[in-house]
Amino acid sequence: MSAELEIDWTRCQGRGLCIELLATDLTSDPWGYPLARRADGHKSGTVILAEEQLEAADEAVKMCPLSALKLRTTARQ
Amino acid sequence: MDELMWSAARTSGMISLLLLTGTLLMGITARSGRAFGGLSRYTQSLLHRSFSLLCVLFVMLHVLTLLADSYAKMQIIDIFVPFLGDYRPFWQGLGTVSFLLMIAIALTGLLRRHLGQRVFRGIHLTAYLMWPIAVAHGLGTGTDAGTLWYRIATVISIALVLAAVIWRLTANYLDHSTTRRLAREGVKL
Amino acid sequence: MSTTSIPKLVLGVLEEPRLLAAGPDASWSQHLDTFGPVPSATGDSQILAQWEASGLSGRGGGSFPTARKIAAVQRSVARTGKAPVLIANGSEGEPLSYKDQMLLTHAPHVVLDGIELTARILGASSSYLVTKAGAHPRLLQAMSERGESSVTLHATDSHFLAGQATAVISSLEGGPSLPRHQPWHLSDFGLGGAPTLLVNVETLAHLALIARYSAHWFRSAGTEEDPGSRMVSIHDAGHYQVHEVHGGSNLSVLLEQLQIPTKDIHAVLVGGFHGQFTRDLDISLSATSDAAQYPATIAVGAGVLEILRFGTCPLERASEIVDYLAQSSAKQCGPCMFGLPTLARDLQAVAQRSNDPALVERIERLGELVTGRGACHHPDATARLASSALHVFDDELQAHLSGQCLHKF
Repeated sequence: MSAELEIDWTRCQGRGLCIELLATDLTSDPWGYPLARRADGHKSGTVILAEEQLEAADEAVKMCPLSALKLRTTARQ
Repeated sequence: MDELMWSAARTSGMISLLLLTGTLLMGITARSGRAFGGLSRYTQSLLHRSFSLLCVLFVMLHVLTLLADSYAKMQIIDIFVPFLGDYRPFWQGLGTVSFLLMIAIALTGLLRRHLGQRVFRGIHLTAYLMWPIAVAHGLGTGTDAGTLWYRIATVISIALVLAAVIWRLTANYLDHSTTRRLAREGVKL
Repeated sequence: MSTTSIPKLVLGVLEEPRLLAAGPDASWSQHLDTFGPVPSATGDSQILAQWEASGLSGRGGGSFPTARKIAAVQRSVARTGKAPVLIANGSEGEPLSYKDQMLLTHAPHVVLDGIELTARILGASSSYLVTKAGAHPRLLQAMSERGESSVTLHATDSHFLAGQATAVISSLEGGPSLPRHQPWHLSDFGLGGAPTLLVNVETLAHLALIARYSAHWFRSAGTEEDPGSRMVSIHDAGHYQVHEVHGGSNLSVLLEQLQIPTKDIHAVLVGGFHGQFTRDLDISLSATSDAAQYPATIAVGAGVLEILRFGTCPLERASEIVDYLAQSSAKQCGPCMFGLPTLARDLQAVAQRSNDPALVERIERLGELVTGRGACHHPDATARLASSALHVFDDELQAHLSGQCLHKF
């Protein structure tokens, strides 16, 4: 089961906790905002996470100081 | 028994003040979005939360032991309504005020996702008010407040918090503030 | 209304007006004389079928098939049991666009008919007509002429993003006219949580006429890919004109018919500030872009065209537009708030003939950085416009990078 990390860009202030917790999937753009390391198909802003990352992702969602993250689980393709 | 309670009350009070100072300092560093001296942003956030929860625990202990100590003459009402106490009512009242603020901050923090960011932030900012009130409470009611080491600890705490707050107000406080400012100035009007 | 047999290659201005058939400043009685009354409710299921068969796509810029949008709302209503809401979007935030204002001034009754019909067929609990900075006096007059009391008029701010769908919803809910984070469809969860149909006022006007005259009539104009007619706003050196044209109109034919001198036209901006440039005028203004066909089709969005003539440096104009778009950012999302001004500054450098060889790559990279990382598509469209300029005006770009400008001596 994989999941999509949904970012509310209107809340995100680029504090960077998620980038630390999901270092394999996210990096920082020049202004500190989370950038997906892999562009996923047509939507470069989408972050698809593998199952191993789900625990870290849950933590990122919980710890984001702006509550800017949500995890949307998708069924196994 | 009273002696034990009194001693525990003083100790837990001082520990919670130290934890409160630690919480405030971690909160300010975390807000900057910067990693520091080996502490990742995540770690700072965790420490901020851990200190705050421990602080609440020690404040609870502080309040309970005071209630149990008959010499302290504290009533249950004094936990929720300030300035009614028999022993140094004003300074004890300050303790009540900071306790109430702490409960509000703790609850809104735990229920953040349900209450929304605005409510959470609004109440959270009162921490800047709560801290000096708690320090004043300690100085005013604390049996050990007169000792040299207590005074030294207080001065160091105030210095650290003051330095952190001043830093908080500088232009380059936030991580990436320089690149962001440069970016915004990019468009000529 | 006649069936056109005009070959596709030479489609341009409509031979006879459709939306504006009742004439300028049409009164209620003139409107009724021209179009007749609103079809009665007994024909509603037929009307819905005609709307679907017409192939009408949105006239607000998105060009999404309107019948599909309506069907999505109906499905949502059936699933949730919540009454839907209709929003007619006439806020027209694009500064070069005048068609919605024209429509609301000269043919408000056609729009109001569309609102009435759509609201009725959807079973909408409320309808809103959103316009820029206060209702037009003619609109208020038109509403009182027909005794319309169920449509709520709402004024939005007049900045660029105020017409964006979620910005309109935000404004209607008492918030700022700024886009919101909304990962779900409005058809599922829109204004006040209700299934919402948000459509451009011109789209509603077309629905009103299709309901009277049929899908066959609608498709007697335009092309297979872009049936029917649309309104276009043409900007040429400070002059603005609005016309009803065939869908899929050939740009060069259109310009000729309108007697717009083409000899010194260097390029045209198609689709307004969120569109793209073209130097080839032998193209079809359509709902979508397809370079594979002949003539190539270019998505015309909300129908805005700007003419660029020799003597005006297109890179300078592109830079001006991107500056405006960067300033128009809602400044809610980091990548847009910081990325667009950075991109604008780099494009300014190109326009000012900087010889920095890394500029183009930086602009393209910034474009990728801001795309898909925001609450709305403003950064994506801005990046696309900049990229379009750099590709289409390749000659000018090379000249600029070596310190020259092909349009200035």
